Amino acid sequence: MAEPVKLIGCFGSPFVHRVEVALRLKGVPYELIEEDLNNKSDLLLKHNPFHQKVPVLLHGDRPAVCESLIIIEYIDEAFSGPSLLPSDPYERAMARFWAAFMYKCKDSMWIALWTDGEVQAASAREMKANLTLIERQLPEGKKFFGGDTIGFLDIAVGGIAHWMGVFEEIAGVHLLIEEEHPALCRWAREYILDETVGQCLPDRDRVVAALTPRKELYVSIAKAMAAQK
Amino acid sequence: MAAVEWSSTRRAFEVAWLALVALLVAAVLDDELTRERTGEMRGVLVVSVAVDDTRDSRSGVKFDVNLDLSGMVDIVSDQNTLCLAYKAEPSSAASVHTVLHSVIHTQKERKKELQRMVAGEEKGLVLLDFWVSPFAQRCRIALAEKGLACESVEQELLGEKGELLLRSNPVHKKVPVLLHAGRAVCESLVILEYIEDAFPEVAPRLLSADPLARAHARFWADYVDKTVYGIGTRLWKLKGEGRAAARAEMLETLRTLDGELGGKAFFGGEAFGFVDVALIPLTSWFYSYEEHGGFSVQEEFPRLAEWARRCGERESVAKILTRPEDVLDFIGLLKKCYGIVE
Repeated sequence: MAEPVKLIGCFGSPFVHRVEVALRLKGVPYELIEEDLNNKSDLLLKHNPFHQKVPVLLHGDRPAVCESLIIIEYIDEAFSGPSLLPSDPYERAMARFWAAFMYKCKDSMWIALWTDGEVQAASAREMKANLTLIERQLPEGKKFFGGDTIGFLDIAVGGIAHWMGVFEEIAGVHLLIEEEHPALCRWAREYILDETVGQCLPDRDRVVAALTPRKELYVSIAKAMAAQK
Repeated sequence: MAAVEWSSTRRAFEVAWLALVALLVAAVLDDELTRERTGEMRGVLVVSVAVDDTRDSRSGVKFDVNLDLSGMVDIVSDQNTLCLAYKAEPSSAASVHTVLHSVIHTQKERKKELQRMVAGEEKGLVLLDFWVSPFAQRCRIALAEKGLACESVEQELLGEKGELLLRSNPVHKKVPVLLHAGRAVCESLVILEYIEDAFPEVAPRLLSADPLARAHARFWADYVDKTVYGIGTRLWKLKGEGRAAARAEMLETLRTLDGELGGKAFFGGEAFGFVDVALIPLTSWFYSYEEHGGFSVQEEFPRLAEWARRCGERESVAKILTRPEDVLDFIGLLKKCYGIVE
C-alpha cells in the first residue's frame, strides 16, 4: 500500500497550487492540510523551522520536503507517472534556469504592483521586459512551455496565469497586457483551462477577497525592496 | 601624453609596436607578480594603448601612450579596441591579479577564439569565469572532482563585459556560464545539476540517487544561495544599523548551517557533495565577513570551521579557492568603485 502523502498548504497560495498541480499530474493522491498563516500550527513549525512557509510535503514518515520547486522535483523523482521535467540534460537546465528566473522577477513585480511614481514606472518596464523573456521560451506552435502537455516550467510560471490578474485587480495596475504579450496571454488562458489545473485552482474572486486585506503589508514589503535596490 | 596618427601604410609598424607594448606590459606585470609573491609591491608602470581596427582602413590607427604611476584598475575594451589603461594600487595584489587575468592577449586573437567557441567547434567544456567569483568556483570544483577537463575563460567584469558573455548570458550578464558543445548553461546551481545530468557515468556523484536526499541537498544549497552572499555584501557595503542588521542575519545563517551540518563530516553525510560544493567557495569570504562584522567563525561555529578545513584538504578545493586575504583586497577594490569610505 502506498505511503500517505500530506501537503501542508493554505488557501490562495500560488506556491501551494504549484505542488497540487504536480501531484495531480503524477496521479499521486494526497491530503491537503490548510494552514492559517496568522496562526501557524505546530505541524508547520516542526516541519519547516527555517522558512516557516507553505507548501510543505510529507511523504509517509519521511522528513519534510520544503520549497515548492524542490518539492516538484522530488515528486517527479519519487513517484512514477509522466515526467514533469524534460529528459534531455540541456532542456532540464533551461527549465530550471527559467523557473529560477521567476524567483528573481519577484522584486521588480512587487515594486511594479505596489509602489508609485518613477520607482513604479521603472520596475514596470523591467517586469514587462522580464515577461517578454519568459514569453520567448514558449516553443513555436505549442500550447505550453512543456510542449503539448503541462511541464515543470508551466507549473513554475503558472502564477502569472492566475495570480497576476488577482494582484493587478487589487493594486489597480496592469502589467500583463494582451497587445504587449499575446503569446503569454494565450498560454495563460490554456493553462487555466487545463483540466488538471482546474481541479486545484482556487476561485479567483475568493482569492481577491482573501488577499485584499494584505494590501498594506504588500505595499510596505515593496517599499523595503525598492529601498534596498 | 602623446597622441600620434599613423597612416594605414605603416600597418607593419603598428603590429610591431603593439607587440612591443604587449611585451612591455607583460614584463612589467610578470615582474610585479614575482615581487608580489615575495611580499613586495611597488608602483606599477601604466600603459594605455588604444587600437581602433574599424578605423584603420580609412584614417589609420591612433595611439595614446600615457605613463603614470598611481591609482586604480580601469579596463576598457570591446571587440575592436584594446584599451589597456590601468593604474594599480601598489598595496593591492587584487588589482594586478585582475589585470593580469583580464587583459594581455590582443583582442583580435581573443575574438577569433571566442568565435570558434560560439560556433561549437570547441567540443569540450568552457567556463566563463571570474577569478574571485565563488559561484564560478562551485562549477570548477565540481568539474575538478569529477576529472572533467574544462577551459576557464576569465571575463572582464569591472570594465565592459565581453561579447561572448553577453551573448551566452543575455538575461543576467553574469558568470559563471558553462559552454558545452556551443550551448550555454547559466546559474551556478543549475550548472551543477547539469553536470550531474549530462555526465551520468562520471564519478563521484555529487547528488545522491535517493529522491529525498536530493531534495534536502537542493534545499540547503538553495538556502545558502538565498543567504550568505547577499547578507555578506550588505555587511561590507553598509554602516551603522544596516551593518548591525546584516551581522545579526549572518550569525543566524551560519548558526543554522552549523546546526544542519551537526556532527557529520559533510553536509550530505560521509561524502563530499552538492551542498559542500555550494558553500565551500563562500568560506573564502568568511574572513572578510569576520573583519567587517567583528566575530570569529572558529569561535562561534567550530564545527563549521572544521568542516571548511576538511574540505580544504581536497585537491580541487585547495587549488581553486581564492585566498581569504585576496578576497578582502578585492572587497577593498569594490569599495573604491562604489565610493565607500570606511
